[in-house]
Amino acid sequence: MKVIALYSLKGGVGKTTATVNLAHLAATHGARTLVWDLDPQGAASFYFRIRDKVSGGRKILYKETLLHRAIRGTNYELLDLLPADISYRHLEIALNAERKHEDLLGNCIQSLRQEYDILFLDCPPGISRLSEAIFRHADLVLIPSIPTILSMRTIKRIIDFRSKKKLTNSRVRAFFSMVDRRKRMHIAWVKRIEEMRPLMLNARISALSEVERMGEQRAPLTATHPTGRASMEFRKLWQEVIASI
Amino acid sequence: MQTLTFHLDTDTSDKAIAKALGKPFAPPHTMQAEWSLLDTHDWALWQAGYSLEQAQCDRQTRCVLYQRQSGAMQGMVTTTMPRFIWQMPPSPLRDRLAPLWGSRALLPLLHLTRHATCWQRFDDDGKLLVTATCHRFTTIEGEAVGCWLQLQPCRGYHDALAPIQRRLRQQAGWLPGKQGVVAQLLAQFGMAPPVAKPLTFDRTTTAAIALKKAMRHQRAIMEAQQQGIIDAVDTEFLHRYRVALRRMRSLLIIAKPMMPPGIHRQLTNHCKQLAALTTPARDADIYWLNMVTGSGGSEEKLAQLRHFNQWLQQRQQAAYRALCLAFAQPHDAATWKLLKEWKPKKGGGRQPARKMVDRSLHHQFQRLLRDSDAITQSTSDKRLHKLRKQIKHLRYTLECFASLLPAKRRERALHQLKTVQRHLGMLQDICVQQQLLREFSATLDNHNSPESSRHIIQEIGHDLKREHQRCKQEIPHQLRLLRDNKALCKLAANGDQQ
Repeated sequence: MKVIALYSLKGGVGKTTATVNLAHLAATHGARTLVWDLDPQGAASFYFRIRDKVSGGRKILYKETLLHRAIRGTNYELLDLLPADISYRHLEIALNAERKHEDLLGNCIQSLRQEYDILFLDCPPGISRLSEAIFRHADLVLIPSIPTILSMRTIKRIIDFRSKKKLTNSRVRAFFSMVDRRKRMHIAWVKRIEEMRPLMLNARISALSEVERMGEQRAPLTATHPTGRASMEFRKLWQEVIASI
Repeated sequence: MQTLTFHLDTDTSDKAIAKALGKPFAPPHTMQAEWSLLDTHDWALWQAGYSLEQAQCDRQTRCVLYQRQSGAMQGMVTTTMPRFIWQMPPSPLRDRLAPLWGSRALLPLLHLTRHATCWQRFDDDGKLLVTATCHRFTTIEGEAVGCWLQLQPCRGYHDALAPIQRRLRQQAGWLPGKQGVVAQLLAQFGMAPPVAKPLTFDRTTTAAIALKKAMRHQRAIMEAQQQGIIDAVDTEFLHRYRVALRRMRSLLIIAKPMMPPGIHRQLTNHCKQLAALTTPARDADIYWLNMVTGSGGSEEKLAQLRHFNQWLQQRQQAAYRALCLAFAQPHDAATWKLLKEWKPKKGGGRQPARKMVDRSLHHQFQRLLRDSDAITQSTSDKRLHKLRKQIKHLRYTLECFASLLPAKRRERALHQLKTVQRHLGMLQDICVQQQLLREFSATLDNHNSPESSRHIIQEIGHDLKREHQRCKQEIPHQLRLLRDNKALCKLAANGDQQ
């Protein structure tokens, strides 16, 4: 099983949108896919029309049976979701309290290995113990980034944090998200993509109204508008992601 | 995942099904396709609940690894029908089948036309809850074969199934069957191993009569599987044959005090010989099973292990040939004839069957307590295997004379016995794998094989060693649970009072 984490220090950069669409593409390519909505906001759960409530709350980290029982099938073949829960806001406490020999997130991922080919982690924004655990267990950490100075600074921060904590097991890749072609700064950053290789992927996701409408339709764009521009961009991104893992 | 399958009359219309399902189901969508059920002849996939299915639609071949209980698992589109796994386009499905790479062809078992109609039920948020699919099968010439309705809940929404099931029972009188569509189809065409009905005894049955009946029953199961083994329809036939053979050996142990010694010896020896013949065939399957359900290794690794797969296959084929030869021997028929002819020794076997079962359970449980007491993580594999056989003997006694024992207590005891057996079985499987790898490594040295193959075998060997240690750690705990199982203690205590 490959673990792909969509992570960023910043909120509102398109982590959940990318997770939902990439996961749908993975499932349509025949991979048994699970999305774990780790963000207490529960946006990924909302997109899949699943209640953001898990019986047992964060206890699922400790009990394998609870974890498996919490998984919900989505409306799409081969694509399942582990919904968000408001108790995930205390995830930090649980991870902080874990004893030396314990590895809560690692154990959970291990118990899902037999059942799925790809696990997507939709991470909450911020840098914390959870981020450390994600860097430790993910095969690929994908960072969506808006082409602005602050966002680019965020990527640098994340990479510094990763090196400082010696969490170099996972591969880190970033991609431009919410690219607005009317903005000069966005265009300038996109042009500099070659300088930022191999960290920065070639694919970029544009700021389009159809992406925003995903909230109304509550379904992946790749399912509702498979030939739309945004879907094509997500497809390109998926091709690069496959090549990276 | 719980899926309900209803066998309907072939003339049941879609309208009638929609009416029985009720209004909240979304309008149906239909699909007609030429449908082939493919099999890898692989017990591993079969036992894990998988079948390979292939449908031809719009000149495209859709090949799916089909999970018999939960519906289609994986799909792919190919322009030509793959005959071997390596002909499939790159996909996770091909990766999953990779351990069988090159060794097994995809054999079309059935070729039918399937007409599927699908209804879906959503909740107020638009979340899919249940999918109802009506599968109508006809031969390519158009002759009706069968009609099945399958209700499949979305994962985590099993509660939505109960009201629909209730409605179908009340409105149309439809009751779900125990087997899935593919299993029922295969059974209809005589391609699935026959399932024997459980034996029942009344309280007045004497021990000798009950034993005779139970042994004949097991022999009937063995006979029913024999043709399937000879025709090599599916390795499941061999598995069931082996289970019946082991049960027969258990019954022979119980029957020893009342059976004439000469007959007992002949039957015991014959069973032992047959068991020895079936083992190598089964060992290869165990390896394939563990490769499919386990990590299986990367594609490159497995491609390099092609020689190992071929070696296993040759070994298995030789074992099958030896077994089929044994079936054809006149000695086989003559020995089994003794089962019908034997009469109990003077004064033996007149006690009620229940009394005999209670006493046997008591002795077996006492022995188990004695032997399992000293089991630790460092106990040898040989001793653990011996213990596994004892537990099996106890389980088979419970299962063969099930109707004589209180149902609830029996089920609880069986549940715990099966759990322990599963752990011990996993350990034994690893030992078998290690043994096979050792034997294969010896042939590698002889033929001056490439260093890479030896390196891969070594890596797998290390993985198995780790797995072996992990399995062993769990066993003392499971045995403690078995010793403390109240239901089993009570069942065994009945024999003590006598």
